[in-house]
Amino acid sequence: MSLRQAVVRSRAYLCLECGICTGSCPVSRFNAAYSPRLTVERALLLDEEESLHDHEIWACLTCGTCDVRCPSTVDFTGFMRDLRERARKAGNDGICTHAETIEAVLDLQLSPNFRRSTSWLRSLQTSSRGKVYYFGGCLPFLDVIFEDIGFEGTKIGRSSVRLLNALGIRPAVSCDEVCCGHDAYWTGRIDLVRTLADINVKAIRRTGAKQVIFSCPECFYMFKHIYPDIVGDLGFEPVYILNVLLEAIDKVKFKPVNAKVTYQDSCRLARIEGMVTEPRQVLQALPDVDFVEMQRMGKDAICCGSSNWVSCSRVNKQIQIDRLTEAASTGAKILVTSCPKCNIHLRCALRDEDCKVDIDVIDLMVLLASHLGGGKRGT
Amino acid sequence: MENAAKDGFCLNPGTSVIPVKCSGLIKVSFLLRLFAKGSDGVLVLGCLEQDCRYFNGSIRCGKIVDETRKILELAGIDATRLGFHLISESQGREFKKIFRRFVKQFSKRGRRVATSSSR
Repeated sequence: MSLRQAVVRSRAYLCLECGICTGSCPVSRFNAAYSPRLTVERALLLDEEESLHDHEIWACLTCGTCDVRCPSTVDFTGFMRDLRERARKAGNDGICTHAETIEAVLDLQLSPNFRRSTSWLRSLQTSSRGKVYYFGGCLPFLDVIFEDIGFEGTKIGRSSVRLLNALGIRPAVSCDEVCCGHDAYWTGRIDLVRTLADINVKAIRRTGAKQVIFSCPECFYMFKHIYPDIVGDLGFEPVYILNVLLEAIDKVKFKPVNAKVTYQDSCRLARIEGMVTEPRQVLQALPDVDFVEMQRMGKDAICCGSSNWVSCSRVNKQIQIDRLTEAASTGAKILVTSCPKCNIHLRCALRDEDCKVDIDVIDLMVLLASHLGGGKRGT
Repeated sequence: MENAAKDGFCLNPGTSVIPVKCSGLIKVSFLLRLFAKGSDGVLVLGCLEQDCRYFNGSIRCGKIVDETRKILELAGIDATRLGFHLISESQGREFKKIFRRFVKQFSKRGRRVATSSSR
């Protein structure tokens, strides 16, 4: 990928230098040195060596707010991804967060004799073959890594399968499934994504599935938009769990929630998929729920400060605290998230000493499953 | 290990020793990558808790090992393949015993080999 190709692919030549991207960027609000527009400009004006060793290229959250607002429809995040791919080859590969644990889990998944355990889905109805497949992704691994902040990834996965069971769906799961490669993709490791896509698609095809259900927006994004470019026709249809739930939400009975809740839009779901109304419809289907909106919602929602597990800094923390404060100012007691990463990052910020907010961060699937009642499987 | 060597101990072939300054410096990623590279087992040895020069190095290492074991179980690798013992430098004979016992379990159970996965 040459710089020229990156500019053509992202249509960066259309930039009017209006500065809307910098004004919209959550990182620029707290880090004046960073600007999407200037990053493109620097890459073009500086000599190659200098621009590829710029540490600011790892500051982008790839949240896509600038892409949505750009009047010239420049794909800034796409440019950033291509730039990262080149920077990585030049030896500038960012600083991995969490002591590289997440990277190492990925390495482990790529080892030749890897077969993941599905014991975390114990006592739920799953099968090894079937028309419908459930893709759990890295949830159980994240559970172990983020135990200290009280993140329960396994619970999100289990809740999703429980909701599917309540709808009468018995999803297939596989021991051969690996990470979807979302973070590898956004940090410019396209070869790795190819390997992962190949393994995943083969593993799912072996189960005979025609429909694959996702509870993670990032995995869904990869399967829907990136995998077809890599492996061609998938042979199955990726579906987000909310769509499945919405089709049959009348069939399930829920217990009253009796709480004021607000919702954090996920970047992949709201800005890329345009799924803004679906999660709200599902939330409002719960009895006695007092749903309030934050001021910045839908496509204008502020990112949770997730950074593809590279270069997490004070800036990310400030973005998160800002978002949590906004959520608490609505008077809500529960902040509902749909992306496991939003859940992890906002929970992490809740423990920050600068954060004076008291709010519960709960995943949408966990909230729904814990209020199941009168349905097929009860609580 | 030197103390054990005086006793006539030598490492099994295929064993590599990775020295670290303090067992508290070990990260989950180090251990996971050793398994990813195909190790049959990893034995983590640290100083006794009361001997720690940095106050909580060995305690920290214990937590890291626990976390790694949980991830290994999820990845379908038996957690007993990661051994953890705290011994003093002078306990040469004890080290010999621990090492022999750790290696023996692999001669009994065999190596990590590809199962029915068709990859």
